[in-house]
Amino acid sequence: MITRREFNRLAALTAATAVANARAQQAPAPAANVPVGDGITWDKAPCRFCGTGCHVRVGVKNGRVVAIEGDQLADVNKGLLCVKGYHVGLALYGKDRLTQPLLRRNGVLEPISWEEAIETIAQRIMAAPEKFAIYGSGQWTIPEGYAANKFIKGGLSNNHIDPNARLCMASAVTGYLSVFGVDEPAGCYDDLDKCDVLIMWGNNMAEMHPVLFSRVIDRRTKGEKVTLIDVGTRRTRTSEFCDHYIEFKPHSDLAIMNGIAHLLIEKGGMNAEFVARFCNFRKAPKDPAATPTAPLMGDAMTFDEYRAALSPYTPEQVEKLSGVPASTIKMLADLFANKDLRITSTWCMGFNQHSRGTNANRLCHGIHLLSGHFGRPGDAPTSLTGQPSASGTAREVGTLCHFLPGGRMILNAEHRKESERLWNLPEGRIHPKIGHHTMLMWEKFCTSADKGGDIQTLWVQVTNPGQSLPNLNKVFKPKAALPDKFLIVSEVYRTATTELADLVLPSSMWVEKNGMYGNSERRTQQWFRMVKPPGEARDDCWQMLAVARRLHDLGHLGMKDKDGKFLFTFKNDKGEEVPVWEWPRYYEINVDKSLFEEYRAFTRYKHKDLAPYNEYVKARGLRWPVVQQSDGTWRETKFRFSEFDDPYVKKGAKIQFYHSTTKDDKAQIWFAPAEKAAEEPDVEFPFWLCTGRVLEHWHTGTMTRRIPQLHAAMPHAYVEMHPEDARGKGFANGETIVVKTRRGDLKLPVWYDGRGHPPRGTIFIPFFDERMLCNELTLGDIDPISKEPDYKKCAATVMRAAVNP
Amino acid sequence: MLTAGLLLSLNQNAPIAELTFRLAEHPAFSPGSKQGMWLPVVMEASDDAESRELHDWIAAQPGVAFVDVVHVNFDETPTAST
Repeated sequence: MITRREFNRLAALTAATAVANARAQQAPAPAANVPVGDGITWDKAPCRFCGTGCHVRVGVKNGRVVAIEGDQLADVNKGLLCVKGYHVGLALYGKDRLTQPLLRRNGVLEPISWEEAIETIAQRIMAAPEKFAIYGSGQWTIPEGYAANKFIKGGLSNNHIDPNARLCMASAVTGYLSVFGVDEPAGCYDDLDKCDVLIMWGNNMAEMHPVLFSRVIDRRTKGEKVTLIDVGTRRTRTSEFCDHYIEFKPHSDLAIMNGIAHLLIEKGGMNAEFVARFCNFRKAPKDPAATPTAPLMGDAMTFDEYRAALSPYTPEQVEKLSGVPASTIKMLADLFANKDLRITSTWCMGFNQHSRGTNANRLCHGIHLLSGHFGRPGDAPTSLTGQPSASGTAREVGTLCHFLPGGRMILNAEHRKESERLWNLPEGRIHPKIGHHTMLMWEKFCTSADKGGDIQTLWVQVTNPGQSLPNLNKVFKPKAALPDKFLIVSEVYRTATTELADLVLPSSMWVEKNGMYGNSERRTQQWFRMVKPPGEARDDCWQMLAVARRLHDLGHLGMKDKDGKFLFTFKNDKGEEVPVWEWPRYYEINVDKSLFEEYRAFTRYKHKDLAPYNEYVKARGLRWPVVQQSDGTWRETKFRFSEFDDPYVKKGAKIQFYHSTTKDDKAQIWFAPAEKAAEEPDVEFPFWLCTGRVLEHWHTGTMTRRIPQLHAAMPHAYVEMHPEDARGKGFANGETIVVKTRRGDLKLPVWYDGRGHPPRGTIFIPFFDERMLCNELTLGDIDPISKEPDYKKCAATVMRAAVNP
Repeated sequence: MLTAGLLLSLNQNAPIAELTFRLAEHPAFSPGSKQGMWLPVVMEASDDAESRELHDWIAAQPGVAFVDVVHVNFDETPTAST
């Protein structure tokens, strides 16, 4: 008889040996023959945290998650997990889980019943449906986001819905749309297995997407040559693995990419055949306000005009602008000029959280297209997402204020009409005006009605804007002084957002509910509920459906379709309607499946075809378009727009951008000038302030700070400085100092010679710690096209805490 | 007690024998059989902070290129609040 401890050791060793063996054999890992008989039942789920989309095996015993294992059948992670992923099960079990609805009375949150909570929300909406807004999330599951989108756009004729993905991925969306005419990467993670050169543009992959980074390091372990290049403003753990670390002055990345494009043209590195066959040239429109789509369409330019526009970006001039030696610019251009190499570019928040984020995305696509490094495995420009379903829920379901599901646009009358048809709504139900994007929504909510603040009731689900919005003193904290504004927050723990909430709804999380996510590489994933939520916590989707039903019963006409039926009518296998708005009956049927099958009808328009729900039950995710074969099976697509893999590319076309904005099957190579940042260091505020993430904590830390191992490893925020800057100020390592910007000040310990290494004149603060809100300092200047704020650049100063108590 | 199955990716010139010996004599680690350039290891941590410290320690050992996690069992791990 083996002991419990011996059993656990055996299970751990068996799993690790299976993966080691598979790697050594260079074959997919077989399912490990993990010992049985311990009473644990296992099922699959994608990890709750980042956008990589690793699959885990979740072990459940006595109604509780007790073990986590990397899923060896998953293509994404092949049995591996990162430090966050292997602790993901513990995120469910923080001691302070919310278990009851809470209503603020006389300044105190007091327990109320679910009936009262739902009634309160319904009455607020009934009173002023046009002044209601939903702030959602890239952590919403696909069915949750779809239900919220249909509820507000199709039911309330109101487009004031936006996800937190506006804060992280919106510039990638506008980049893809304006270059390829359709959102999301053409390539996938397989590119990481094939590339000769991996360029990480402002992308700390070793810490933010460690399993993907491990995939590349694994190739080196096997003896393959892969050149790794880190282009960034701060030396990180990623830099330590790289062949080249290229440090540039903040906001000068556009100059670097223009410099590469300039050299490709002037030194013969351009792939003229590829460009002539597959590309056009665009620039910013003369009149961006001429039409709503003008900023995405741009104006045509000739090759000669494009070449002339790039002519100022000589290596020497780029060196002046960026601080990157001219020889390094030439080295990068030479790599792109080499047609024998396969080059993959990845980026994440460095490009996206940038007040010229759309242009940064465009220029990166541009140098790949100009050099022809596109369309072969290993040759791809690919954005990575930070949330598990920023792609699946925000971008594909279209929970942004200007989108309808499946890539349709609110401003397009045909798209509205088609969405009304698919939702069986009377014509004209969907409002033709786009809603408020995230920053505007919160500004309007935090402004009194008499001064134009037209949002009175705001419902937040699965996100923490009280910590993650930039410039909190402008767009979040003023709510505290506006008693007529009503903030509803669906959450699993108390957060910086619930601090100001009027109504808090306790939610189920991750494997406490059914779910579907869509990861960075177009992979749609599914899981089933495995354990019950604590106390009275209930699913976010149920909360939305319950409010919709209450509005229906109160007589809100928008809650009925054109045949007079409730918008969210579900039937069981016998064809009987199931009142899923009654919580005890919610799991009588699979609501996720019903919503997903309804949503699928939207996905063909942009060739983002999804398979039936049951196909995802069997798979560890499938990458769209997923197209049915003649034998009835469903085939995923790894490489979009390439004839060898994408079923929608015409035979003989080789590459076809079939959603081209210019309707000629060509992609657009954009010119965009390098510009100054909205706020740059000066005498009063001499430092660049950059904010970001750390390995141990996921975003605002509401889950990972409740995991003992992660909390112990990184217990609080800090400000990283260059040691010479710190010593110049007389700061000892660990001393509490004050960081100040024009928007606020913050006390926190200084750290130098630590994990990250900012250059002189730059400081860095992570945003995971709700006790040290760095977003009271950030500027939040937005990209004019994507409306995504810049979190990476503003001017700051530092001083001893005693000087400024 | 937290029990984890780790996968070490080793450098080409990794001092395999020394590394395996060092792990074997460490009370928290039990190395398995090396497979090519990969070494499976069991790690046991006794308290909240120790697992991360051990993770960092093993990642810093000469010859270790990268540490991935394959399996973890935490059924006796306490929970925390902030």
